[in-house]
Amino acid sequence: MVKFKLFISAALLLVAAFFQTTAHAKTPQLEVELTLPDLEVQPYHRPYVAVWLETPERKHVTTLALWVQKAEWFKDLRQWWRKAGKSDANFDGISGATKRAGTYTINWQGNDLDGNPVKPGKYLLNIEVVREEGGRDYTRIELDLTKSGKLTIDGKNEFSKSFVTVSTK
Amino acid sequence: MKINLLKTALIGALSLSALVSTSASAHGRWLLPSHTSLSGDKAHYVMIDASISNEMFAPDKAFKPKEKGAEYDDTLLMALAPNGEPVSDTIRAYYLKRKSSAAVSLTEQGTYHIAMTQKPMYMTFYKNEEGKRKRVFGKKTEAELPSNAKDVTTTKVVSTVDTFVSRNGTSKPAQLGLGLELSGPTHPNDLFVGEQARFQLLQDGKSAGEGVEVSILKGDTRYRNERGEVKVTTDKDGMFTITWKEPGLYLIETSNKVTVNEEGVDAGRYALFTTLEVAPE
Repeated sequence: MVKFKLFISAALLLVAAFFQTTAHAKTPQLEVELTLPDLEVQPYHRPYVAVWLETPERKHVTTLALWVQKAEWFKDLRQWWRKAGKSDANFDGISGATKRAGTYTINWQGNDLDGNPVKPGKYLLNIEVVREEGGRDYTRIELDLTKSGKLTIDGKNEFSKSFVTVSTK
Repeated sequence: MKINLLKTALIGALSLSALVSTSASAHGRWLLPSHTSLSGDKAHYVMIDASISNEMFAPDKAFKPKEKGAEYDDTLLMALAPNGEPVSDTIRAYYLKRKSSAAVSLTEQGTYHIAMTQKPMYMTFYKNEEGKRKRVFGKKTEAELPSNAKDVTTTKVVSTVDTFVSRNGTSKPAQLGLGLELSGPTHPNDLFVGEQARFQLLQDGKSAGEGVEVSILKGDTRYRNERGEVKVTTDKDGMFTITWKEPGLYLIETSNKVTVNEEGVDAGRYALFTTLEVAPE
């Protein structure tokens, strides 16, 4: 459904492959450049946003960003709620207030919510945006945290073209 | 003589299956929850509508309060809290002609199993003087029957009409333990389009076994020309699977003949009407 293109340079791939065989502990890092579109609607309520990682089996690994207001509406981030929100995890470190339209950069340093490093490997990156009196956008893409590269994610209505950069340092 | 006996037995069996199939085509009944998933620190209320209707989920006829002319019924609904105990508050269901409505207070974290209070119902079938088939409530030993009633049989019916609501997370729903009900592995409040759900049909708390047909009907039947129910059959472990194609409210309906060893009861039937909500991906 959601198309994404893989922009990866052959050189980076080679470097990544080389390091994979020689080094073990490389901390993967992510930069998510998320754009919330300027919607000309009245009334406009700032959307609730969640960005998180899951295992390929769809188990929550860590949440990268949570922009919300009232807990009463957390459930409307349906996928985040079922996979992460309803758990006992503490999201204080990564949560913040809802944001107006614009482009935001979310940096992830490779740790889970308890500060433990996340193992390099394959994961699912989830982006969910839901707006009161508006729509909901949900995208889930595969990410290989052992390979540096940049992915484009096309949102439908509630987020615009956004980017994810994996760097393995 | 022998032939006559056999004939009677055959006719008996035939009329029995006839009455079982008539009752199988009884009206749909359901609970309609205002929410199936809730979050937040404050205690929540969930509204539950109950109706007897074949139009999902538009109410048709309300369950009449036991007390004639009463405006509400405190015994219509019950709810099992996540810890398996019935909620302490009385659930007051207001009688609103086409439906009954109740507000159920949820204070605990986890899944509530909300159901109509199960009272086994006895129906007695007979033929009157003109040979017309009639039905009265109650066992044949208790029901008022004309003195010349023929082919008198009593069926015990246990109907489960239920739904599930989760507050601040899901937990394994408490079981009713009587009649038919759904169990996991899939959680009834974790249903999403494109995903396969797997349920076990339980009968008196144990697997209902193989070969029970289950009908899965999406709501909003009023707004489409085809009823479009999906039929699946339980496997040897009483399990069935369904992959949700569309989000919405669904009624899971099934019934099963059961053996009843009760004085004055000739047949038994369990029925299930479970309302589930499926979220868009």
